Amino acid sequence: MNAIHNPIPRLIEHARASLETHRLFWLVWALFVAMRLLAVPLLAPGGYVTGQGPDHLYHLDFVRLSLAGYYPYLNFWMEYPPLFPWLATGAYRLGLGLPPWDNPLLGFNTILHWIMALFEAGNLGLLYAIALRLRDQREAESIAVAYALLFVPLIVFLGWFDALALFFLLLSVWGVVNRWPIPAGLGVGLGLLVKPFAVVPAPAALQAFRRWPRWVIFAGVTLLAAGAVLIPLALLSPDYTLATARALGGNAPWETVWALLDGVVDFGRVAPLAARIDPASSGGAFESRLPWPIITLACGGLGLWLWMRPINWSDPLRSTAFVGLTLGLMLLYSKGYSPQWALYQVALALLILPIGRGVAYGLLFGFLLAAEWPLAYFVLVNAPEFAVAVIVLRALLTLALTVDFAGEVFPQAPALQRARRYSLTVAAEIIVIAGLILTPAALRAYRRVRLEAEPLRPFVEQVEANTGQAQLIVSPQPDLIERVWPFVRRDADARLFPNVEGEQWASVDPWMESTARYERVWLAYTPDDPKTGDLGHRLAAWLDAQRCLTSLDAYGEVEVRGYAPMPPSGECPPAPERP
Amino acid sequence: LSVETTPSGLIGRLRGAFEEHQLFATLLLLFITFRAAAILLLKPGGFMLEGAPDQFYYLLIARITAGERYPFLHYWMEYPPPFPWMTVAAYKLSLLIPAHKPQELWFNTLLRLPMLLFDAGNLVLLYVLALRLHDRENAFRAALTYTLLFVPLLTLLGWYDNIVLFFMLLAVYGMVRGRPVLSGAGIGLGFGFKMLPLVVAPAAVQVFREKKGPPTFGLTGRRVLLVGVTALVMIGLAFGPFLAVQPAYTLAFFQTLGARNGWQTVWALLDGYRGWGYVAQPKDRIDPASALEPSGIPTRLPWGLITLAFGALGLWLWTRPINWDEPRRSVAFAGLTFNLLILYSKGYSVQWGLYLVAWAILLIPGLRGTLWGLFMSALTLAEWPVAIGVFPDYPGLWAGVIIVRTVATVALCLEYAGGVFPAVGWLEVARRWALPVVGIGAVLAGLIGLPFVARTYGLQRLRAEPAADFIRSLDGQAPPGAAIITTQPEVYERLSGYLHDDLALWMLPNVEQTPWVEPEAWLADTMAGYERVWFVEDRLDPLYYDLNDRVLYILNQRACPVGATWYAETHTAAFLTARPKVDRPVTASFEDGIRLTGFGVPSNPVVPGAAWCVVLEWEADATPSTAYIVFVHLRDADGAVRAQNDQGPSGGTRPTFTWTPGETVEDAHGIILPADLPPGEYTLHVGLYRADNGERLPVVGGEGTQPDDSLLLTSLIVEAPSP
Repeated sequence: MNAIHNPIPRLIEHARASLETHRLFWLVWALFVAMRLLAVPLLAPGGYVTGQGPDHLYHLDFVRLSLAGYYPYLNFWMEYPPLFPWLATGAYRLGLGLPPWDNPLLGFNTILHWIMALFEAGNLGLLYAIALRLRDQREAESIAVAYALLFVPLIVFLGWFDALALFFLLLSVWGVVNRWPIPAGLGVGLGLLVKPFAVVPAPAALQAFRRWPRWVIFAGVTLLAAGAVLIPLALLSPDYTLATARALGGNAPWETVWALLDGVVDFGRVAPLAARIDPASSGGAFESRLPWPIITLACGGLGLWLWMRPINWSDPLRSTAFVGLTLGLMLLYSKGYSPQWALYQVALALLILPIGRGVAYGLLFGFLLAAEWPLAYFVLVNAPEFAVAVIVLRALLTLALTVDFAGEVFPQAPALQRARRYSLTVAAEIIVIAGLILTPAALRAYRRVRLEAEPLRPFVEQVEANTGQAQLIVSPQPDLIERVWPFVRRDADARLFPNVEGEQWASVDPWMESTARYERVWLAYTPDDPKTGDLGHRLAAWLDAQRCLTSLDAYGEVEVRGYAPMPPSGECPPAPERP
Repeated sequence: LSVETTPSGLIGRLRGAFEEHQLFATLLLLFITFRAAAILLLKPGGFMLEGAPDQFYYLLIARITAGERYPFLHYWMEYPPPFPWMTVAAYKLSLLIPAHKPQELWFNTLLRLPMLLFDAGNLVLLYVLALRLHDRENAFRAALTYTLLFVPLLTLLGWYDNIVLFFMLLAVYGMVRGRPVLSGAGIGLGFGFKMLPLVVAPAAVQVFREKKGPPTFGLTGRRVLLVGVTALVMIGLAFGPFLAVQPAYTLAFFQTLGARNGWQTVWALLDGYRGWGYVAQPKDRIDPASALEPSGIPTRLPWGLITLAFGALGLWLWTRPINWDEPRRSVAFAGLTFNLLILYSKGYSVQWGLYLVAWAILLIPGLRGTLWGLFMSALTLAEWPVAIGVFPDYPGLWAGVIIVRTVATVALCLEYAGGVFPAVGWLEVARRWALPVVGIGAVLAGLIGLPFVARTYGLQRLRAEPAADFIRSLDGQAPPGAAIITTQPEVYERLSGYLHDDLALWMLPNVEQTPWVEPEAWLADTMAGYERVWFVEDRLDPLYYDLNDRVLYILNQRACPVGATWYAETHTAAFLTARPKVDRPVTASFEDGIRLTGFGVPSNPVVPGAAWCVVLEWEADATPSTAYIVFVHLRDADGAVRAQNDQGPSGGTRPTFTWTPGETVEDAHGIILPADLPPGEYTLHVGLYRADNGERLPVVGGEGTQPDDSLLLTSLIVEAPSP
């Protein structure tokens, strides 16, 4: 009697049974959540390559406007739908109550991503719950383990906010496979407030909920969820809301094959924040060379045709695969692509395809994500050919995945099954071969890019010009050796004067005497460096006394002094003027 | 046999193993790719600590080699030679690649990728060992737990203990597989990186000893000899070449091990030492004798007795009747030895949490092992970065973590002892209760300590805040109707966490120094709601100089400057927002062509503690020759100055040498009357003095001229404050 009226014992019993039945999943889930929570403050995405993550500083910039009473959508426009900007602003405002850390990103980023960890924890749970509907428990566990262990979900979680959008997408899929229109509608409706990808389950949902009243419930909940946020915003601030809508639709293409055909290799640029106060500044004036109405018609027609094929919509695997197919087509059609979108592809690949294939796609997309960001668009920023190759390869892999999804939707189509048999293998082989071919080119490009960015480049060229002479570069600063030596290692020797942060480990006299055998000696140091400046002066004084100063150049704060042997007469030509 | 050794046989075996352990093989693949990507794309220390945990130190040491000074050839180190030489190799290789900003990228990548091989080895060894100790399901769980726990990942990214763990596990693997050479190699090679793999030796000796014949403490037998000789050969390989070339530096390494006093242990706490593991300064390492200098503080503890007690306990346990041929017993004994060593050790470093975690995962099957792994991970992270990185000045917190970790280590000893001696009933009970008791205790301690931690964090950050005195001066003392204005979000963030709710904080709307509003109008609107405002700027950021100077200029023209204070690079300027009109003409002349032509004071009654503004109107017959400071004094009947304001005209924004003939300069001065100012009649004096030497500018004519070269402007009555 008591148990019937009191739900708590039943809930406890249910939880205990769930723990017992899904023991491995809960173990993975607990470890996964702990890993995510700890990674947020302790692992910076981008590593030693970027230092500050992909978009973190930009996010910090726009939430900081709230300090002046300026909020997204109300006082300026954004290129994101409203949920994330408001979540980020809320997280930032929450952090203001805490004494700040040295790096202002810590508090803001930790609070924001800990909130997102809730959604990421939900992603794992939803993946598992959906997988249980599609496959047996062992496979569902494998999918959860794979998601927890693939790098793409972790880096996207730490670096961007697509984990949030994925949650709503999966919520919607979960609703579809369980024939529950309310979560399906909530997923699409709320997901649209995060990223447009949330719409991809809608076609499958419309088919799955064809019968009255489910169709109406699904559509109603979707419209209600999206409208509950968008309508008040549109009423309160119509200009900025419209400006955001324009920004979403009017961007120049980026990081896609379409963009390449339009001659654009650049990444997705956003309008400068300073311009966002003006609603008219949103939406680009990019003139495409491509027949977009025809492309849209073709893609739309293909989508519609596929949607109307006889598909067993009551089979959860088919309807989920159709979601994957919709995503694939949408990504192939899309004018733009951002590397973090690999998350959606990886999550759906794990769900829909056999686990080995899903993992293979996860690894390949992870590889291409790293090749795209930070490699192509951060490290090799002036080597567009590398970005072009990555974009083409990623489009190819997306195509292969789309074929794979289509194969799951239409298991009876022999041509598709044949294509599917080879799609992943061919795409993987092409990526591996391209990777092998491109690696030497990438290394050369890297060298060129670094040299172009190096303020000491004229000095490097000077050393290269003197090749054939016995040259030595001396410095009290290891960082200067590191900056120069890789470019001139065939032309000159380079030696650090033994010291640790200016504390000498050798006497100047005997050590510098070993430089006598070199025809030309260069001394590079930062005169104003508080740690090594004095030591640099002592080395310069020694060389001034023993050799003839032939060149004196300044590159920013670094001074480079060139010395030639003293002639037998002991008379040096006049020393060059300090620049 | 011939079939077994052919390639097809080998491939067949590999294929068979793959099919048998397909799930684990997938896990291993994901583990390797995940960690490889993490090495390239995740920076340990995050947004919390730069160059952490020991990354900056490894690079510092490696960079010495650019000056052709090498570890153990030119200086000693507290690590055995192989790891320092790994850093040398990684650094030398990184020099072949053009530097990415900063250099850490390639050095770190080249140092960590080889370590990944060892960490993958750890996963394999944990799995195969767990297969020996438990069933396949638990073996997979152990591997999965190691893969998903944060501490092994962080250790790979920040330290090098994954290598040591590999050799420790290899030694254990050799032991359970009955391969003395492998076991000895693990012990010896591991010793080449850290001494810790030695803990496997006692169990290995028992496993490999000659079981027949009289008990001889297990020190006999060919296989024991093989373990010892192999270990010694490996140790010789690691140290021998350096010992031959530069014996002093190699000996210094061993000497420093003995000379170190305790750190991060209960022993260190008992000795009163609250610091972390001290390492010698780089320059000191050139002199081998410096290795003998004791670190930390000298111990007061009876180390002879402690050593004897632990030694006796270890020996007693070691000589108990144990079924050494049963892998569960022998491996549990190795784990027990490790934990006893940790308890005995004078020092502890946070990265050793990796070993505690790995042993727990390996020896305790199922969910309990995972929970132990999570718990020990939490304690490791509570020590670093929380206690060491965030609260370095609050040793109480650190001491708490050390004590909990020690208790947890004791509890793990009971767990492992239960595995070694399954027949001992009380151990089984202790084992069952160890995790719940320690876990719940730690959680309760954490909950109780949380308010203290939060308060301590606030205090710690305030101590590090350059403008802490300014913040303290406002804490509960700011008058009602006061606000702070800034243009810099960084300044806003620095202040907002400390200010009470009554004090408003405003930021001028701007994006990267471009105002989104007209500053004049915005300042006028903002100030309208307040009696007093402070403008705060951080002069460390030159990008804001122009905007801040503009705002300061407007404030000085529109409001009444009270004064400015510098806190390191943080500049605060106080203003009264009400500014009286100049309505009282004056005719007074100073030297250098300066004339005072009028002034204004508020008409409202003056009470002690009130803020009060005087506006002066100046003209110059010719541009003055130098900068003068204007003083405004409130003097009592005895002529004593009771309140004053000295500053350049218009808060310093209109120095006298910028005045042009005929120009009228309005110059406001805010005065805060002392709260204890007695009621009565006071006089208001003004004058000028040279900014460079303080010499007063003589008054050359006018009403109210005083002998001290000031002008008496007016008198005023200070009323008693209303009750």
